[in-house]
Amino acid sequence: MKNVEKFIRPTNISELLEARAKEENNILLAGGTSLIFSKDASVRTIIDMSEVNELKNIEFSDGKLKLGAMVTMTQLRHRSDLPVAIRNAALSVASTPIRNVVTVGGEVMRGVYWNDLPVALMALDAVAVFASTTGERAMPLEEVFSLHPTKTIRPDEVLTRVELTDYMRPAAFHKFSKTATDYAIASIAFSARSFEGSTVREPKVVVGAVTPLPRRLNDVERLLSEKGESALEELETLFSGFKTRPDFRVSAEYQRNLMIVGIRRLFRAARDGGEE
Amino acid sequence: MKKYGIDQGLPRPDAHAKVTGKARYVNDYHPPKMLIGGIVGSPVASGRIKSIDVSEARRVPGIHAVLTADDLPGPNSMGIIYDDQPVLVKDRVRMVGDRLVLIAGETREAVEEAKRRVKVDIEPLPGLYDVTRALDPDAPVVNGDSNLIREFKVIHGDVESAAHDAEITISGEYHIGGQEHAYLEPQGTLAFPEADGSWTVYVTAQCPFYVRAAVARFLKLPISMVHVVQTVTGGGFGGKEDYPNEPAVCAAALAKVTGRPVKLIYARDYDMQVTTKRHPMVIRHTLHARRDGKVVGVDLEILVDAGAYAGLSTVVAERANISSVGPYEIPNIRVSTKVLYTNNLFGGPYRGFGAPQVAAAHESQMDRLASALGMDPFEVRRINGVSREHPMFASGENLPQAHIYPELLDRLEELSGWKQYRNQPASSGRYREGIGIGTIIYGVNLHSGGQRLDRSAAYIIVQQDGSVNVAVGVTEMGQGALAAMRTMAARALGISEDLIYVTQVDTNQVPDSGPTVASRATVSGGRAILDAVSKLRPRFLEVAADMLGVSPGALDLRDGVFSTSDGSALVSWPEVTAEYYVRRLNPAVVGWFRSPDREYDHDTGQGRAYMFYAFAGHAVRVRVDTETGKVDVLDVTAVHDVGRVISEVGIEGQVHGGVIQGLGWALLEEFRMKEGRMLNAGFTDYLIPTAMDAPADIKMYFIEDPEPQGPFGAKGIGEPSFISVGAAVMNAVYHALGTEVDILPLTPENVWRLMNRSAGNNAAREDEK
Repeated sequence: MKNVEKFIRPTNISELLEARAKEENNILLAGGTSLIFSKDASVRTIIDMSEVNELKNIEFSDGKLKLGAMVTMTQLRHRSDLPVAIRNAALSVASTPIRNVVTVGGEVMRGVYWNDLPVALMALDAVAVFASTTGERAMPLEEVFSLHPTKTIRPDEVLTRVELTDYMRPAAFHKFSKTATDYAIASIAFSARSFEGSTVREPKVVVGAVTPLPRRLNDVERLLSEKGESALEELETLFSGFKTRPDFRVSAEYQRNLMIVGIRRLFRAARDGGEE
Repeated sequence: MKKYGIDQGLPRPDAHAKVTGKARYVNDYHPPKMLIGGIVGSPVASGRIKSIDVSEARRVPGIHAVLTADDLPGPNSMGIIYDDQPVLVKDRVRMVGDRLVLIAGETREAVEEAKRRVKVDIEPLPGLYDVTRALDPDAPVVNGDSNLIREFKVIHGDVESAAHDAEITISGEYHIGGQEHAYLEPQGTLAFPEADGSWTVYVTAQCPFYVRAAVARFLKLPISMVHVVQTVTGGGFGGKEDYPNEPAVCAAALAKVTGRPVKLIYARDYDMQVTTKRHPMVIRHTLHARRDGKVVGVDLEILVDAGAYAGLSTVVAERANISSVGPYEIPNIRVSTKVLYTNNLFGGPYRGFGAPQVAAAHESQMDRLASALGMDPFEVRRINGVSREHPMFASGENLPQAHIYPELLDRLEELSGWKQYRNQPASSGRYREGIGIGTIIYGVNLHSGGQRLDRSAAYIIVQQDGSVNVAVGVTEMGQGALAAMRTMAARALGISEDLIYVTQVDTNQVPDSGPTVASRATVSGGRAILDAVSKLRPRFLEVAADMLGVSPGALDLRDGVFSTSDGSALVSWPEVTAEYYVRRLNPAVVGWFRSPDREYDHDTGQGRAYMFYAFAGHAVRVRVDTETGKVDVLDVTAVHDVGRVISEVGIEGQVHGGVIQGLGWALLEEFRMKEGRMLNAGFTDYLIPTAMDAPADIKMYFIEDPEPQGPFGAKGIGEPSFISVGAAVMNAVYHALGTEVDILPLTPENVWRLMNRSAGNNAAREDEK
């Protein structure tokens, strides 16, 4: 970013959206943990969102849970009224000093394979809300990640919040890594509308790190819907041909094992209360 | 309440500056007209240089020197033992990062730009990346005429007849991984010519005297004309033993050509790729025993992956060779340790010096024997361990310290809660718990092969006001040497520690004291201090006696006061030192230590290998997730035979550090390699334990059985604190899973593979007769 000429720090959303629409080749600064590595020479303007307080709220309104784009992982982790899957995903992000600055918006929009939070959000059917000077539009996270999120957002838009509707349904998240601060080798989230005995309604399974972007595993969900808990014993067959993102740290065989183990654990954890 | 130690409980002298960020590391020095140095390294591990074009690099504004092998202002060789390593490669590259071009410029940006503009054309050659293939007839020869650099042996008794008579034989092939030092301060040097023709070199290093010799040799100067100052050193662990010679010579070459100070600081990724590492080893271990548990013979072949240059690999291998049998009296021994060139990472010294790798094998073998015979691991060690009745080490020496090993076993068993955890390992669901031990014998100070370096100096000056300057030749690298020297000087003199100021090593202040390695700082530095004080103290007693009108023999100096035994005559230390100066007496002295001469037959490994020995043992309790292979450490127990504790806080710090570094090696740290390139060169992917990954409880016990040759009875602690940790982890996982463990590190995937191998192929390796 050696050609940056301007640094703007708006103090409310309308100033932010205005700047986003007007400033030439601008880039948004949230927590800054990835921006610091950017070598994008085309960037002329940095828009710092740190003083837009409207983006820092966690709200329960209109029957929804709304997570502002500038809410940090530390905030999420300490809110006992949030779904356990989200709190666990927030806690999984790096180390305390990094969690203090990493934001919901950054985790979603950065689109790096090891991002933990979007995996949990996607399993809970989260919807991204993009705003611009012309209004707001909502897009399910699954759609946001159908391409790289920088391609699903328009240049004049800002992700202002993430909304969840049925957020208290059974759900769980787990990150597999080697140390407390290591980035994910595999991250997995599971949710369901409900459990009845060994059957499950509307299961959602999302994986991260083993894929370039968070991905729902529709085949697994279908099998679980059909067969309930007994499907967990058939995962080996289902995953035998699963193509993982190559990772020099571990083999594909081991990545597949983690997914299988993770799904089994999270299915039971979600059913039994969310703590893996 | 302090339980151990002879210190006065002061904070470490270097602590405050380090924790407040005020300590000055080499990168904090900026002399006028300083240039920044840079290195262009080879992108491939094996190849022939067809051309190097530096013309574009020389045109970059702010660049003052761009040197290829043809431009060096000194000899193009820098091997520390073998003359097998160039300063800059001229024709053949042998490792990724091999130096091709040196650059000096006004700014880091200019240097980086110049590096980018160097055009290198290298024809790739077949490389050797598997140490087990190093001696195959069709293996590429990496350096010199053969990939075998040197072979060490231990020949004791007749292992063939032991094999014939044995009732049980246990064989294993162990693949033990290397380790990155992960010192927080990377390698770095600042070199500059002085106006009078002498040179000054600031360096982060464990062995400033090595750096002085290397720079003097390169610049063709007398040693006395090269002044090496050890700057505050942010960790070493062996990685700053010989390696700092390389950046120092490079900085000196650039400074010589430009006539300006040149600072060369390694970036983390380059540092991890090119600097020395703990050697990966393949250890083939065959153990012959009777059914009563007595081991009658061991037969070992150890392959040491040295990388492309010898460095100090042969010295490391020498310790591995003699340590490979462990703390056991075994009548028939055959060991062959082969040090081999490959195109892998550069092997070198690392805390434990080859002993942790061989301990992993000898301790695993002991547990396999115990398992095969249905014995407790402590029992086989009691049967085979050295003791007062069975004091013979692999070198054929009868150890005066042998009686300590059985005590160590008792303490370890008791403190670790062994009986409870071993007999009733907790298992629930997918988790299996286990407890394992590792025990070792450690030769303190340098091996017989390096005894010419086993010397040390202390220069003490008593000032008028009673304060004391102590300069020693052993270095502080974070381990607490300055504090230990202060304690020993104060204790020996009989004054308060806060009167003592100990300086970092400056080669113009003290004679060459050899390297600060092999857990020798406390022993060799302490002995030199005691020698100095033994010369100095009588001088002050004499003056004090004269002042008091009593005979010197009637006086003692304790707690800063000279007094007679009945307390009738008293004079304070500062009063005496002031009077001493008034009388114009000599207030300075050099103390000296040299270790005893040791006879050792290098063809058989028989003789006196080390000055004296220490024992150590670790017990590690783990919980293994059988679905993912992840191993969590529940607690660690460390028992050390230390002779005498100098500082309680200091020794606890060493044990905490050794244990956690050992757990990192055993469970996390691995080189992800592709044709000689380390794919995980950086702390993002080369994982070391964080505080969150450390076990909640590290219990420790120190056996204080004073060593007659150690200062105040002390032995060393730096390396023993690490060595048996890995072995204990392997045995704990073996206990938890019932699966033989023959690999380190035990990363989750490696453990998962061990479990799968065991499930798929449960063939026992014990070859019972």
